Amino acid sequence: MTHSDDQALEITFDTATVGLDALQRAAYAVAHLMSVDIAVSGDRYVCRLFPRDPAADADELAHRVRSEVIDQTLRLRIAAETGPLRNLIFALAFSQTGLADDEAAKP
Amino acid sequence: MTQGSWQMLPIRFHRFDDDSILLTNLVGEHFFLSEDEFLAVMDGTCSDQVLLARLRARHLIQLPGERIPVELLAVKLRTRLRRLPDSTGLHIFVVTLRCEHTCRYCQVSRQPSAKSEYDMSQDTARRALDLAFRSPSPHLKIEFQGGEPLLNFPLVRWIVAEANRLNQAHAKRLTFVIATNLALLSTEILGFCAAEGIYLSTSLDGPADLHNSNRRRPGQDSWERTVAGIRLVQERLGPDRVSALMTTTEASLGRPREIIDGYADLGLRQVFLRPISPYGFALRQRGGAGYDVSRWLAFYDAGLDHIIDLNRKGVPMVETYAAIIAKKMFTNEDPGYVDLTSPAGIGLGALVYNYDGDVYASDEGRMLAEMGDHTFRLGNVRNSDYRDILLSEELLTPLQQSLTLSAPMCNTCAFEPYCGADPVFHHATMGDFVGHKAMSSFCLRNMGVFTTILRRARDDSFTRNLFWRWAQQ
Amino acid sequence: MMKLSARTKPIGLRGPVHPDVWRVCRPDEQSPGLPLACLVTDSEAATGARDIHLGRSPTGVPGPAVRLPTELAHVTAGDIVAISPDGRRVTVLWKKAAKHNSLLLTEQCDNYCLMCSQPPKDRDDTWLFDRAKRVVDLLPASAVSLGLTGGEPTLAADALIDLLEYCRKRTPWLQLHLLSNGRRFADPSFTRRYAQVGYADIMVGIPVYGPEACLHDFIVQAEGAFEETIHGILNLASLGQRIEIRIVLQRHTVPVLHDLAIFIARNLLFVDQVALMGLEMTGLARPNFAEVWVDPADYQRQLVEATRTLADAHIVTKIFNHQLCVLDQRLWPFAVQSISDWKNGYLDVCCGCSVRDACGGVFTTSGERVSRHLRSLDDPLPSPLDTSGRFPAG
Repeated sequence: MTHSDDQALEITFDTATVGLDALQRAAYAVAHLMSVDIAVSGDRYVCRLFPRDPAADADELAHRVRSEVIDQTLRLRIAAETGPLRNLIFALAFSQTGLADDEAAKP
Repeated sequence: MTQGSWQMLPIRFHRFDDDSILLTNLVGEHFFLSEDEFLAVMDGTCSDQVLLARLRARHLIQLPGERIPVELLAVKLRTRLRRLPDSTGLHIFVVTLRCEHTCRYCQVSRQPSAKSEYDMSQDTARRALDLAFRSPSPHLKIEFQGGEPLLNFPLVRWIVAEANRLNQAHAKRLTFVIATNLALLSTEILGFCAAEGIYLSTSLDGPADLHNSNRRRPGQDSWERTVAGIRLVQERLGPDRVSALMTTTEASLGRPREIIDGYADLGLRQVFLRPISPYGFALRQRGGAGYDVSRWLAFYDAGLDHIIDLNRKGVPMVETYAAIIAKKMFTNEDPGYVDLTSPAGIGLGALVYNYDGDVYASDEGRMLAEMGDHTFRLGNVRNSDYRDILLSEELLTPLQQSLTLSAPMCNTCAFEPYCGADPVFHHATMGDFVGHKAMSSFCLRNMGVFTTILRRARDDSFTRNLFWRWAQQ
Repeated sequence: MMKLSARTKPIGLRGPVHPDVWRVCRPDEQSPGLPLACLVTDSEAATGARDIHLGRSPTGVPGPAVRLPTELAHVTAGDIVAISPDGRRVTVLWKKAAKHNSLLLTEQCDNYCLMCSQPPKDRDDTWLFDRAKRVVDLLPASAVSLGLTGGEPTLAADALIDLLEYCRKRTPWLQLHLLSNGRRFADPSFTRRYAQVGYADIMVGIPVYGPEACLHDFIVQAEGAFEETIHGILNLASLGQRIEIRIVLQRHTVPVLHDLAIFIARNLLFVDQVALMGLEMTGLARPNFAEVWVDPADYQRQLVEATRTLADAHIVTKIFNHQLCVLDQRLWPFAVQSISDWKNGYLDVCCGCSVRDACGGVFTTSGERVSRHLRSLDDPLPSPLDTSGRFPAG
C-alpha cells in the first residue's frame, strides 16, 4: 500500500489470482467507506482508495478491501459451482409435474 | 467440483459476528459455523461428521449424487412463491384527505375537516371497486385510510355494501379494515362495524405525553380518545377486532418499555415497532426523518428485550415485525407483508385508490405524489383497468429492477430470503429503484433486525421457541 | 403376555380343517355360510380347557372340534383364529376386545433395521395375503380399525393392491393403517395404483429415522433407503394420501431428534401425524442392545423439544409406547395407549400407581429391558388433561 500525491491510498492485486469481477464487487460493497478506482498495470490491478472519512485509518481500509475481495471471490466460486443445481431447483419449482420422479430426475 | 464427500447446494454466507459465519439456502434455512469450520467446509477438508450431517439436514450441502435435497428445495421454493399469482390482495381506499388531527409526522397532505372537496366520490369508489375485483386474489382486504376515514363515513358504509354486493359474483373472501384515530367513534359507527365484521386499526404511539405531542388535535386529547376508543371496540366488538400501530419518532427512541407496557395495559397483544418513513410532511419538518439507524436499532433491541421478558412472565405479547420475519426464517410460508417482499409489494401486493381516483402502487407512492413526484402513479380509475395497471411500465420497471434475486449485493446476501425490495423508498432517498445497498438505510435497518433475531434464537432456547411459535401463527 | 398361538388337540376331525380361518362364536349364534367355530365350555371344567366346534352338520349336531389349551383361555366369541389343517395349532389373528388389531402380510423386507421387532425372513409367504382376505370376510360390522403390517407389505405390490380393493368392497368403513418403509412408493405408478383404490380411510405409517440420508440408511441398514422413502412420501402427498411419520426413539435417533423435528416441519409439513415411539426390545433389538438401547428417562429433554417443535408447527404429534412415570408431564397429553393388547403388560411396581389406567404400560416382549426409572405415582392425573395437541407456552 502506498500513498500517492493526491491523498489516495493504493493497494494492488495479482491479476493471476484475483478476478476483476470480484474486485469490482468488492469495490461496490465498500462504497459507504470509500470510492475505489481500479486500473491495470502489467500483471497487477492497481486500486486507489479514496476514503469518505478523511480521518479513517488507512490500514483498516486496506484490510477491509482485501477481506472483501476474498469474500467476493468465494461468492463467485460458490455461484459457479452451485449454479447448475440452483437452476435445476428453480426449474423444478416452476414445473408442472406433480410426482417427484420426473424425467429430469431419472439417473 | 465435488469436494471430498459432499457437494455444496446453493448457499450464501454472511460474517455474522466475531466468531461466526451465517449460512443460508434459497429458502432461508440457516446454520452458524465458526470461521474454521466454514473454511474447512469450503475447501473440502472438514472431517466433523456431526457438523456435516447437520449441514445436510438443512440442505446447505448434500452427498454427491443425492436427488432428494434438490427435490425438497424445489418443493419449498414453490411453496414460498405460490402466492405470487394471487395479485392483488390489499386495496387501500383513501376516502378523504380531511382530518381533525395534525400529526407532526403525517405523510398525507391532510386537509382541515371542513373541506369536503377532498372526499372520494361514490362514482370514484365504484370504479375503484370494479378494478379491485379484477384481482385474481381469492382474498381481498379493503382498507379505508385518509386523512381520517370516519369523516367520510357514509362512503365507507356504501363501499362495504357495494363490495359485498359485487362479491356475490366472485365469492372471494373479503376483509374490511378502517385505519382510524378512533376519536370520532359513535354508536352508529360501532354498530355498523359490529354488524359487518369490520376491523379497526389505530395509532398508539406510546404514553399520553409522547402520543399527544406527536398527534395533535384540538383539545390535546388524542391519547385519551384513542385509549377510550380501543376499550370501547374491545368491549363491543371483541378484543381481536382492534389493533394498534406505533409510529416511531425521535421522542420514542428512549422509551420503548413504556410504549410496550402501554399496549400490554390495554390488553393489546401485538406491538409493531416501526421505523419512521421519509415521506410527506415528515420530510418537510426539521429532524422528521433523519434519525440514524443505529439509534433506531438500539430502540428496537430494547423493545424486543422487553417483549421477550413479558413472555417469560406469561404475557403473550408479539412483536409484529419479528413475527413476520420469523415466518420467513422458520417456515416456507409467505407472511403476505407488502413492505418486505420480493418481487416488491407495489401493485402486486397492494393498490391505493386516492380520493381523486388516481391509482398508486403503494401508500408511499401516493405520498411522493403529494410532494410532486408521480413516479408511482399507475393510472386513474376512470381510464385504466386492472390489466393496464399491472402491465404498465410504471409498475414493471421498478419491480424488475428491484428484484432481490438480481439486485447487486442483494443477490449474494445471506439474508435475502428474509428481506424484500422497496423501490419506492430507494427512489425517494437515493434516486433509483434499486438503491446502493452499501449505503441504504433500508438495508442497514433490516440487516440489524435479522441479526438480532437470529442471534437471540441462537443463544437462548426460550427465545428460539418463542420465535418458532410466532412464525407458525 | 398374552399368547396368540398354541398347540391344540383335534377332536373328531374327519379330514383336514378347511377353511383355515374361523370366527369364534357363541353356541346360539347363526351366520349361514360363514366358517363359525362355536365355543363350548368343556365338561372337564377342572382342566380349564375349552373346545371350539367347527361348524355344524345339517342336522344341527356340532361338527368336529379343537381343544384350546390354557394359554388360549383369553379366546372369546368374536375373536378370529387360524387353525392348521391337522387341527394341532391355533393362532389368534383378531381379538374383538383389542383396541388395535393388525394382520401380518409378509415377513419379507428390504430394510434391516437395527431394532427390528419382526426380523425379515426371505421366503415366499404371499399366502398371508390370501389368508388376510379370509379374515376380512369375518370382521364384524362393529370393527373400527385394522393394521396391515409386515415385514414390508408393499413388496408384493399386486397382492397388496388386491387386498386393499377387497377391503374397499367388503369393509369400506374400516380405518386402515398400513405400515411400510415407503420405498416402493418412490415408484409413481405403484403410488397411483395405491391411490386409485380409493379407500376412504387409510393412512400409511412410514418410519423416518434421521433428517438426512446417512443416519437413516445406517439405522435401516440399507443404502439408498432414505432417498426412496422421502420420494415415496412426496409421491403419496402429491396424490393426497394420508401419511404418518414414525420415529423410533433409540440411541441413534435421540441425539438428532430436534433436527429431525425441524426437518419434518420444514420439508414434510403436509403429513397427517408424527408418532414418536418407544423401543420394543425384541427381535433384532436384543442382539443389537448396545447399539440401540437408551433409557427413556434419559431423553426427556430431547423428547420435549421435538414434541414442542412439531406441535407448535401444528403437526399432530403422538407419543407411543411410553410409561407415564418416565414421561415429562408436559408430554402426557400426547401419550397414547398404543401397545398391542397381547403384548401389553404392567409390572409389580405398577401396583397401586395412581395413573395406571391412563398409562400404556410396557411391552411384555421387552422382558427385563425396560427403564430403570419405572415407579408408581401417587398424584392423580392433572384434570383435565389438555388434549388440544397444543404445547404449553413457556
